[in-house]
Amino acid sequence: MESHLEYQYLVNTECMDKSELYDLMTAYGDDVRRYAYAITKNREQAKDIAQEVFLKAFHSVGAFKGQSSMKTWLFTIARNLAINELKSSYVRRIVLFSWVKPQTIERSAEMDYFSEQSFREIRDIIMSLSTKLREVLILTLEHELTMIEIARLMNVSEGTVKSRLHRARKIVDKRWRELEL
Amino acid sequence: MSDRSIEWENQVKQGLFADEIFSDEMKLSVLKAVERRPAYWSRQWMRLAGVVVLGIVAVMVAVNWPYGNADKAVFVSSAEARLPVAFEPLAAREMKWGQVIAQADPDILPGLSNKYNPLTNETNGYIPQIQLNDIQLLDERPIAGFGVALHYTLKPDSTAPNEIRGNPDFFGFKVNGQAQPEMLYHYGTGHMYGLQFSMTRLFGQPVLKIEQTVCRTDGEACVWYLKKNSEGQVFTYMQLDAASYERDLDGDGKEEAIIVTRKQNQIYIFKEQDGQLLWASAREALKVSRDDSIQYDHVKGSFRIHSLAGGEDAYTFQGGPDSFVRSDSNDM
Repeated sequence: MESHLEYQYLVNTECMDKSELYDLMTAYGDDVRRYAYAITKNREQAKDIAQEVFLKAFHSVGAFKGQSSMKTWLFTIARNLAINELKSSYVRRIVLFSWVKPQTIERSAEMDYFSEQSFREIRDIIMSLSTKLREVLILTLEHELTMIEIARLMNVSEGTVKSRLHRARKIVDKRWRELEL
Repeated sequence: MSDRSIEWENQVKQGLFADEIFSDEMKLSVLKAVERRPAYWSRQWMRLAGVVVLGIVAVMVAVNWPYGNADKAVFVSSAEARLPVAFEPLAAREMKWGQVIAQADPDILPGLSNKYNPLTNETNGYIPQIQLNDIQLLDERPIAGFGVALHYTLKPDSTAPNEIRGNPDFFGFKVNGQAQPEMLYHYGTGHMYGLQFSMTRLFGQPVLKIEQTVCRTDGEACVWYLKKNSEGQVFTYMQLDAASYERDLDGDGKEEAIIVTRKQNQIYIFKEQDGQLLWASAREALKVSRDDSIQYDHVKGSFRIHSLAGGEDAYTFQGGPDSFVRSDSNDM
């Protein structure tokens, strides 16, 4: 869980430098991209949105007032971009083979327990949820946002968040059990 | 909550989209975009800074105006007219083919981000070849005097080497007159936009230079030199994590590499001798103080020192013996 104080020094600053931006991308880049993907279900769009989030954060850090965590603030930008379906294209750099680090997914004991098949099944079930339910579920479980944070992020009441989370859990549970039969 | 529910919730907690990472490539793109689109406050600051600088310059001109004392307006340098340059063998680890470079490893020279010997050979600079049938061509660009650069993806049933997850774009090339016209050199991921290709000469031999002016996240350029062996096979000859220029500085008929770094404002001169790199630091040889900066002007072949006090000295490199010779900066 992120400390709210971690990026508190950016509150009331009008600009950040590129090294701070780089640190921010390192700390939250994966989360932002995954959240954008959870909303859009489109890899390329999620990638563009994630990059645009940090550009916007760089240009408007003055708008970060510290009322939410840095992560929630970035998620708010990501959500607005995703909803508005803003797309940007970026020039990608060339990475020659000698630089390429083979990407391997760290497998935990839990991941080993789940077969690749069941992992895909869970993901498919969750991605088949409506955006509203999927978003609440992923923000709660994967990104560990509180009800209040999610409510603020989605501009809905806490009660609505609880209700959506309950419905999402119920649907996933049901479909997951059906697969077992 | 049942065990079954806990199972799927644990899975979600661990993340469903492990492949969706914010890569270094994406970070670099954002940093480049930031440079292209300065923030509002940055733009305001630049305007303000411009006004302030103009004001300071106006005051300095007024204070230092010669008013009948011409000596005051002339930059007086205590630099020597001729400064010897000593080259020494580069001590650096040899990279193996396909090896992962750890960015935490020490740089081979101050300010130069290479972690291994930049000079490679047919073994550790080997470039795999794949069948043209294996690729889905997206774009191509001719390279005068060399061949054609190719931008492509791999077909789903391709057996070509691919260390990257997903289906990324790749970059490769074909060489004029290559022995196997159905093959291409499969060089790396990414595309050609932003890359500059040119045929040049380095260490007395023709090479293909691939240059990316903004390449690394720290803002350094990247340069790759490729050359053909006696059988016409292309391999990576040298790769640098900094800008590089080729010029026969000492007049021996072999072009040296002049390496210019952003970090620490270093300029190195590389020579090749019997397959080994020799290096010299222009900054050290010219005794540039920490507060002063040094620049290389490739058009004029001159090295310029800008002092904090506002003066400028220009030097050219001469061979036999290797040395920097001071020249009139106004002539350079």
